[in-house]
Amino acid sequence: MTEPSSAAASARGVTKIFGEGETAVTALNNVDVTFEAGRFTAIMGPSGSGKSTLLHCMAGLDRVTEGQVFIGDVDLTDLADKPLTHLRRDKVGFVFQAFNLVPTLNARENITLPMDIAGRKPDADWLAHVIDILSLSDRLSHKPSELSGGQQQRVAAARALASRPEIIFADEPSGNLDSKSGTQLLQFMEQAVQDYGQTIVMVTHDPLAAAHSDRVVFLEDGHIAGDMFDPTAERILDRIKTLEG
Amino acid sequence: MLRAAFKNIWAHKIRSGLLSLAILAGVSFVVAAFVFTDTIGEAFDDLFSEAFAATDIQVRREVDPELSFGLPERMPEDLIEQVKNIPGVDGAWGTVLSPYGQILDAQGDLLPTAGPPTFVTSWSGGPSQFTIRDGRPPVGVSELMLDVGTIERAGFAVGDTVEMLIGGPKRSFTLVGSLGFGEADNLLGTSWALFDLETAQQLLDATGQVDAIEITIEPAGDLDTVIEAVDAVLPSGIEAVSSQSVAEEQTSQVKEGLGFLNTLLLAFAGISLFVGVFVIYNAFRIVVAQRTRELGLLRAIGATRGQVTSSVLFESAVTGLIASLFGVGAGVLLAMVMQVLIEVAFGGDLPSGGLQLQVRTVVVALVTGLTVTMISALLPAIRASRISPMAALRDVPTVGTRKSWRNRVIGGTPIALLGAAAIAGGLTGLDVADLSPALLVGIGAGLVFIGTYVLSPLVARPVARIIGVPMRALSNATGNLAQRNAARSPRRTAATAGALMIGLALVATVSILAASTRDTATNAIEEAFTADLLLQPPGFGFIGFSSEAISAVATLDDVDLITGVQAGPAKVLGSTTLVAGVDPAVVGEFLSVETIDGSFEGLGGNRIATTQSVADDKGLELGDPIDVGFARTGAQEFELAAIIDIASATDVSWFMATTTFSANYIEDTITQAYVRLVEGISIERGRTAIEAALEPFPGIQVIDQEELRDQISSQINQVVYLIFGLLAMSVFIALLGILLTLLLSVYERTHEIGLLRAIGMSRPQVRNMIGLESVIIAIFGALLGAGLGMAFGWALVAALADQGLQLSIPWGWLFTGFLGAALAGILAAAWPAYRASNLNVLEAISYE
Repeated sequence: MTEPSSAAASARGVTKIFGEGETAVTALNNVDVTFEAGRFTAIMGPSGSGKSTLLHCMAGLDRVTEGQVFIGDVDLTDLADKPLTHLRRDKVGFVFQAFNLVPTLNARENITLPMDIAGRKPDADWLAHVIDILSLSDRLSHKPSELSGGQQQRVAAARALASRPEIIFADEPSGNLDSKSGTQLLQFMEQAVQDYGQTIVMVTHDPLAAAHSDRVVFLEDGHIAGDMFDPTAERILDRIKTLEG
Repeated sequence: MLRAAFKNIWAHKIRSGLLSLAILAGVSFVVAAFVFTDTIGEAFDDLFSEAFAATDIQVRREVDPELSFGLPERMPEDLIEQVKNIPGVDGAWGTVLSPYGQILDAQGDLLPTAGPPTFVTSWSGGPSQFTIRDGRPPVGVSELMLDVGTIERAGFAVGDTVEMLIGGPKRSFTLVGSLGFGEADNLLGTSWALFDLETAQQLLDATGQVDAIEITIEPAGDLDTVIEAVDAVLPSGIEAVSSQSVAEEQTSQVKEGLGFLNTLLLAFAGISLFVGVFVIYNAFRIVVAQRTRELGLLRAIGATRGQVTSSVLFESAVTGLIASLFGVGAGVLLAMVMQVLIEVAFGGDLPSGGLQLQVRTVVVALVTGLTVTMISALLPAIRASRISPMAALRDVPTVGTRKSWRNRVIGGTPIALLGAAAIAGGLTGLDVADLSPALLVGIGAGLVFIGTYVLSPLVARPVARIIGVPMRALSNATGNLAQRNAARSPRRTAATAGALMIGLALVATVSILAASTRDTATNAIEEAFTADLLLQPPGFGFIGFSSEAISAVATLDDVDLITGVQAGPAKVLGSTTLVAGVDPAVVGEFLSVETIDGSFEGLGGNRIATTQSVADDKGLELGDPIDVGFARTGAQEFELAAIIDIASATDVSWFMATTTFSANYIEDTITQAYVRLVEGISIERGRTAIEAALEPFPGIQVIDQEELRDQISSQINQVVYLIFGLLAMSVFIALLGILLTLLLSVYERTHEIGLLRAIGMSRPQVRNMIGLESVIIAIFGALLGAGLGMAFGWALVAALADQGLQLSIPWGWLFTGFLGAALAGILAAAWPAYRASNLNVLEAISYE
């Protein structure tokens, strides 16, 4: 694996506070982190550590209270809703834990949806390739309700990949899947990074899932608590025990 | 459970508010109908009691109440002297009265009125309803008094010269005084011109005659005894009655007249409520479906089915009650607005009095609102009780099954067919269960609506797809999503569109009926009407013009032939209708009259003619006796002397000779006259000559055929626009329905919209998506409505075909209705679209 150099996304001094006054909760506290291009990064941490908040802020779904967020070299911090939406549409891919697909559209339409919204034509060869490696060829005309949970998440992954975004954010993508389907999906994400140089940032609380990544960023109480490269499930578990202990 | 229902209403204020609006609108129409008619009825009650309080007894011609549509025969004035000598009588004054006066303004044009007549009467000198405000009573042939309202409207002042038309050419009088009616300046827009008795008699061609004698009795006299004594000296056919009872009669006549308005308003209230039922039913159905989990939970923790049903019903009852209460308020406001509008339209004050909000009105409003809401919520409530406790544990998708589709066909088809049969029955005059044909047609239409409503989900999906095609072309992703959303729940789309269907169906029906009437009339003019020019009275034809005007035109060198047509109300074979007086020898020169049987030219005396279609309808044959009742001469027996086929622009179907007509009507007025010019004289030259000859008769319009056609069109258009205006309320309620459905759908699809926003759909795109979905629903409703409306319109026209009505489809109007529906769809979507586009993306995707 080649050592990635440029930053696909980064946070500088990011603080996120929910609420005001006495009920204010600091979800992120002066976080500095960089996600390199061409890398599969996992964000881990206990519940309430702020890992999902960090993902939402990085992906332009939520605003930071202080600090700056970059996708590539674009500063998201003060972007208006419209350019931010276009940025999500053109440069970011998403895989959520659930409710990933539009129920009225079939699998193929769901996959091409971001490009349809943008009014762009998908790259037919790439699209066929993505569909092929995700083994979705015979499911394309099915509605989400006719797909299994694993198939639904694969369609979501295909949608995220199809437009070749600069970065894909995944929020517990295998959280609702059985272990076999989950592993399949994670293996595919790994493959996308290795074979096609895709950048993926994934939030998870599952060490087995995080073990598929190149790097794990640990979050605790809203700040970065550590970093681990080329992780294995066991090393992650050990680290978590240290963090919690 | 009840507290839960209350909390539920409060938690969904917007939804409950919109639901309330759907009921409120209908209820307010009901309230307005009652308040308005009660208020006016009460005011007239006061007015008449006051007006007749001045005298004690009225002597008048006995009139069959069924023949009270015109002026009765007068009585000899020497009766006054006889009456005066009766013991107990203090004073007696004779009066004459005619509603056929016309006042000219300072420029010599007719003083415009919007319908109420100008009365010509005598100043009796005795006590009366009039109070002199200024000046003095008129004396002699050249003086008159006018009411203050008219004086102000025309800009006259006491001392001015006032010109009037009273059954002849215009004449000048000096305005010597003004008068009011007690406190009021004006009586419902009517104008009053008073002369001394002799002058009034001369003007009204009533020399030696009076219309009524007003009597006061001595303070010690007993009213009933005096009435009896007076009655004893009167010839048969003339009666003495107490002024009090005349006041009551007149009040009840006004109230009866208002009854029509009441019925009209209640009919539109009924339509609004009917549409409201669809809206409320649909909203409650969606809400129950959305609350499946919650209701399942209630069942799981031990709520009985009955409790679930009553919690939904209770919610509807509270909503209905609150809405009805506001509806009462809105109705009172509406009644006030109507009063102002009518005052503006008639250019006069209505007799003022407090608004009459009677207990009965409030009770009717509350009961109606409550019942309608609860009936609408009944099916959804029962459905809610069927939710299994297991529903709390799983997400149950609501997908229509094949079985429910079959049930739809089995249920909807017979309802629609039954409705169609009822319409057919009503139109062909079938006597079903003592229902009036109009009511039968109304019930039939309601059933057809319900049947179509039940069946329409079957076609909602494909139709939504087809409507969506141009939208996908317009904008692929949003158009596609909009179309899929509209098609995802055919039932919901169909139910939402169903409410709009009703309004549009009625609009389409009215359009087709109106266009057919208009085109049939104008075609008849074009094909069969050979007059070069036509003389028409001004205004709405309530008042005709003097036959002296015809004589003035007949002497012109340019005029080859002129004939006048008279028309008046009469009771023919038991029903009140218009009969025409024509010159049978001449009228055929202008209208194509084809005698089928008997002799049309031989009309005269008590001989009458009718059209082939009426003769067929009533099974009449030549020589049959025909009972005809007139206001002036009472019941008469006529003989059917001719059966004809006549192409004319009017709907009169009974004809008698002019001489016969004059013998049976007091008023000698012409309602239309046809002119043929001497060959070679241009229409324009003829018109100029005739207008010059008619200078002493202002207000008579001289029009050619094209202008006549335009007039008929514009008259029909006015009626159509009025009906459209009233139907707008039902369309508005349907739009509320679309708004509600979309709001509930947006709420239901929070996740999905959040996802779309997350992966890059912009706010405008979200708005477009919701807007386009709304347009699809609206067009679907418009299609159903236009389809049904065209069928109704066709059926109505077909039923009237024997009266010569030919079908015309007003594509322009229908297209406008369509476009309007689509635009309205966009309008209804505005708020839901705004809410959808402003959903917080994060909350939307993490929403549970």
